[in-house]
Amino acid sequence: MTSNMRTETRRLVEGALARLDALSASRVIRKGVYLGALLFFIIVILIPPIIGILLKWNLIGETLQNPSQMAKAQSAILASFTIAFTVSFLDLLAGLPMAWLIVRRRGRWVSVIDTLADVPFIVPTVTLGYSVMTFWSGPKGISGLLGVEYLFSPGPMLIVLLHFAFSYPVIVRLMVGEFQGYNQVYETAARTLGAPTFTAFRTVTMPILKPAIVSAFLLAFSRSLSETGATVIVAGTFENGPVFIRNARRAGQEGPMVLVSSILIGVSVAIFAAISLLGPRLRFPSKKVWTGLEWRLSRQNAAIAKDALTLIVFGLLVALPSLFVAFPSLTGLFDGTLQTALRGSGDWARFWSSLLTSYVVGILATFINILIGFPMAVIVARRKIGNRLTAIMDALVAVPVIIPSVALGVSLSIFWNAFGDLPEFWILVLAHTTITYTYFARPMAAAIQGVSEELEEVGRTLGSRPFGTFRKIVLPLTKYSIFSSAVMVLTRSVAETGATVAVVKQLQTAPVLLVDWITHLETYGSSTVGLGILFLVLMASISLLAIRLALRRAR
Amino acid sequence: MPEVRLVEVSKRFRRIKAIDDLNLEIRNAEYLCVLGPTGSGKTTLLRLIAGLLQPDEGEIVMDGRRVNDLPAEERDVAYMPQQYALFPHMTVLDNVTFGPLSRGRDPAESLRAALDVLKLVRLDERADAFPNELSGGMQQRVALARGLASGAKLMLLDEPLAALDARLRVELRYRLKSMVKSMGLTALHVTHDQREAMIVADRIVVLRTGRCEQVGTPFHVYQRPDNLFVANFVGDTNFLEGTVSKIDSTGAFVELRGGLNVRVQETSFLADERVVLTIRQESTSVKAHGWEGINALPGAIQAIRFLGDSLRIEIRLANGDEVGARVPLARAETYPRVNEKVVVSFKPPDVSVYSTPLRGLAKEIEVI
Amino acid sequence: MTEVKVVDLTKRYGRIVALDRVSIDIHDGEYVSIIGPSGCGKTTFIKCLAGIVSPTEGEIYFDGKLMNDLPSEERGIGYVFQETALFPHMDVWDNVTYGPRVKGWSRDRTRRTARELLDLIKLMAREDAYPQELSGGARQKTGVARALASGSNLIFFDEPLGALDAKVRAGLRYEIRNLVRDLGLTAIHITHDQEEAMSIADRVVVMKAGRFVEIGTPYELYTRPRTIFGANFVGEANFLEGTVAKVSENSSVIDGGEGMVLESSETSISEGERAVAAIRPEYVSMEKKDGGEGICGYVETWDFEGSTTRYEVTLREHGHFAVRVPHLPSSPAFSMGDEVVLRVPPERVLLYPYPEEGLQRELDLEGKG
Repeated sequence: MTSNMRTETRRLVEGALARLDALSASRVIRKGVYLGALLFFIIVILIPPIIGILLKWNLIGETLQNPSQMAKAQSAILASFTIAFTVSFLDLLAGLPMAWLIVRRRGRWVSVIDTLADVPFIVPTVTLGYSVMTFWSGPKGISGLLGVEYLFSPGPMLIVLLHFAFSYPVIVRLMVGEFQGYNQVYETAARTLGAPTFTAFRTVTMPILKPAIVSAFLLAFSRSLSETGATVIVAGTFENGPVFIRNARRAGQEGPMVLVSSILIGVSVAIFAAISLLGPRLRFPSKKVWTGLEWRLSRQNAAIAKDALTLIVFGLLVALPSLFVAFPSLTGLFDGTLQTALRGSGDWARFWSSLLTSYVVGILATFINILIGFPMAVIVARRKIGNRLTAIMDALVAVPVIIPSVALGVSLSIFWNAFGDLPEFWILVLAHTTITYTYFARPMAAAIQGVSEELEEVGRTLGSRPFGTFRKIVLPLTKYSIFSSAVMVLTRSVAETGATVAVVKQLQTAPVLLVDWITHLETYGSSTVGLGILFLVLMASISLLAIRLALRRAR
Repeated sequence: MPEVRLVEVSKRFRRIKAIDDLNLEIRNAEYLCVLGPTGSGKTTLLRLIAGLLQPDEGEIVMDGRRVNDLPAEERDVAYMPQQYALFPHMTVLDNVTFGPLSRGRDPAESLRAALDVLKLVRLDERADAFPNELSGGMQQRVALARGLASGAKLMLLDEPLAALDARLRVELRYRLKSMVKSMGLTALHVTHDQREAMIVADRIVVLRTGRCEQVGTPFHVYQRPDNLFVANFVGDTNFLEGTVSKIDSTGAFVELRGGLNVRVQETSFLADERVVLTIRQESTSVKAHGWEGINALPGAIQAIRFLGDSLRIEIRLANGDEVGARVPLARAETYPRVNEKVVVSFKPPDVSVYSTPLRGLAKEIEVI
Repeated sequence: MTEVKVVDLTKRYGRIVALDRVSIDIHDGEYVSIIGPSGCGKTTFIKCLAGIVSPTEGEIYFDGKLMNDLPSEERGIGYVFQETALFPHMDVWDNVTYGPRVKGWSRDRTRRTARELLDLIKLMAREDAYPQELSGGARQKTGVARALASGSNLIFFDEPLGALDAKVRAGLRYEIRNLVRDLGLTAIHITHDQEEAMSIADRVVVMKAGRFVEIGTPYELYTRPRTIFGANFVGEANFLEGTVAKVSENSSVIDGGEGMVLESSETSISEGERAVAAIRPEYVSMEKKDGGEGICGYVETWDFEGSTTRYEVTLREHGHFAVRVPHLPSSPAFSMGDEVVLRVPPERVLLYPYPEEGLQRELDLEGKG
């Protein structure tokens, strides 16, 4: 562009911005924007998943009459919740000491562990499913090593191992953030008063971090309930909720599908609400002190033993199983499959088009979420609707994440199809937007809250209109959060399997395609599958690296 | 003509009245200090005038115009919060030009105005620095410059010196006032430090729980406190409780507990009325044991506090009451010793008399 | 009752030297205050003593026992934090009894000690309150009670009064001082507020850029500071640059240029050397111009300070003097523009060699000089 064009564009942009500034001076317009965002959230994001399911109430009634279907449905639901609870406890138990280690220990090896702990997070869950399966029950994996046929055959145990692995990094990330933000002065104070490290941790740090621990539990819980693609891979003939729903959809059994979906939605919301409300009341034993025992636990050796155990659990149950997928992937690189892939012949044509679909849907979902999620984030962060309503909104914004994605997909497709024939693509976009809404709105709200309101106030008293204050002060200070949240949304959307299988019949996104390939391994061959996974992992790694860099710049 | 007027303004947060039926006048080019303890409503007052809060009752009038509904960006004020709120992502220069540019002034003119003000606060050489590279004192000056450059006629300063080290505070308060005055601006300076208020203010408003306790020049507020709260909050004061025993044409006698008697010059109280006497610590003298004269109260030294240019001698009187005497070091005859027996004395004209408050002296003057 | 000995304590963070070979001996039962501008290293110093930070070099001894490798919980200390750090999930009682509880004291002993302390500090009525419900002053008092309850004989105060109102601070510091004295403890109290330190400490240490610049009693520090920085930090002073014109047996004459001359009873600086004279405002006597000897000028401004008035006098030759006059019946009053003559008793004129880096840097109260 010539410099003339550049100055012209700049003038146009500045003119437009100035006009927006002037508009923002009007209270009516500001309230209108916030109201718009609120309405969009309620009407498009919140209501459809809840109402959709209710529209097929009659089908639920029918299924309830059918005893054999009921038996299968019940056992699937029970399995889902049992596994979710178990996995969440185990993840907390294993993840807390790991987060502690990452934050408190010094040394180069710590950052290596830190990066490795992110691995299961980077790879789309589909790949994790395949990796876990081949590690634990494939002939080339541990079973082969131990000379056993199946150490863990596809089924509930494998699901537990899978869910444990993929929620582990999430817990660790969350707790690392909490430990870093936690003001160590409380622990220091406890120690100056004579408390050894273990006592200080148990009686002071843990109770203070209780809300975070409860959040971590709920996060692992909801992820376990939601996850579909990978669970399908490792489930074999076993069925938990999402697997049941997927199978039912494939078999055309709408009744059972709707029933299990509605139960999943209802019970998970109830459990979530219960734990959120009761969690704060839960008291860790923090009054009694066992001086002798705790002094010994605080010794150097005890700490080293704890760290060693943490690392072994991490290595054996999380890192190795996640990285195992490297083998088939790398084989695919070198045995000629790469050329076929790049030529796009045969099955690969479908692969590339599914990848394209995934990213187009993802980018659209990201874009919509930024536009609509931003005002919402401002509403929550700056309490624009009063304290009580803000707290309610804050909780509601978390709902799309609480509801298991597959059930959400079922409900959404019912809802939007009730309005006539919406193309599958757009329902998919809506579904992805709904699922990832929280991934943008929540971190943005936190980031905006991190910008002191005083800065905006001073800006206003200096003569800057509300929109001007927003774009000159809040935006620059939150730009890294905007970027990293957007990338998070995109990544989450691309990796999504649950809602996708529930919503679409014809269209295939990349992960869904891969689930198909993996469950028919004989047809496609492990090299092809391995290579497909490699491409997916590559794309995901690039985006996650981008987030890492953005977050580092922000600090 | 007064620049800003508050007429019967009240502001509530949930049930608590942060500002309670307040009337206030800020005169043109005046440096007014609002003095009060934490929680007295000083910051709320500032934010009401800035337009960041709306009053629940009453009117705020600026230059004759009712501004209750005028948004903050259209009021001609410069607001400086306690922690300065410098824009961390902008350089010193960008911070200072923010105001003029936001108000639509010509960029070249804004730049010139900014550099002039930076020269005034002696930070023109650090114009390209970021706030986190500067010391506390420098940050304060940038915040001040930002306010001065905005072209606003009214400066609202929320504890502008509180974030600085004590010694620096003493140095900078003179400069702060002279800079504001040199530009002919009006300032409302909020603080909890009465010594600071005494030095910088043209007039002081003493605020407590949202109400105005007294308004006047520093001299006036110091010499003639309207009530016990002000008498305690401003300056160092001794309090003695007693009952009026005898009144005559030139004064009265007040009997303290333990039978000690004090001669005062007040005649407006009635016999047997319960009163509180106040005497400034610098007006309280310490005499040698056995000294006789008007208002000679025997006691013993409890502690001696070194205050730099003076000593504060804490004495417990024979009747159990505790008083303090402030003695300039340069004029201390001999250096006293703890437990030494002494006689405390003060002149009748230096004693002020107040009625004993209903809720008791301690509650009346409490600051915590 | 604990004696503290610090030898050549040094702390480095990469290139930055936070503590530069500081040493001090603190006696049993002594109340020592360390003052200095923000960032001078005073917090680092007590954190090293408390075991919160590990020193790079140097030794720390409590009652003759080496502390360097002992963690905080084994040093037997009490620490009052700047931000109080009261445990938010415990009420006042649980906070105060935390120390005794983790030390395994008996229920009775714990209860007795906590009751006694809360009573002394006048917080008995609020033992069920949570930290967020307390006022700033009450929170501070709870922090002090908590530190004292665990039975330590050595207490560290880390800017304990910083967040409080001026009036509250002024009262609370004496309460704390009396409490420490009644319990017979050794205390190290750091603050940026020199008035606070001077009014309660037995000895005061002035710190700048990681070094102990002066150590002495408040009286010594105020009337005979050994450095210009100390003189300026501990109270207001007038500084005059000049050259030593004449030195005799018990006085020097400083020539400030353009006819301004001061006599000092100090003789430490040789003739011809550049020097700086420091005079506290309250030692300057001011009279209406009477034709006698002295420094001449006129009253530029004055500030009413309550019990004193501070006059800013512009000198005829150059510069200004600050003069502080207490409100005694005998004190005269001056108006703006009055021609006055200033005189200072020679024993109140302190002399220092002219600093290498220039006077302004030495006077920088933020310690960057």
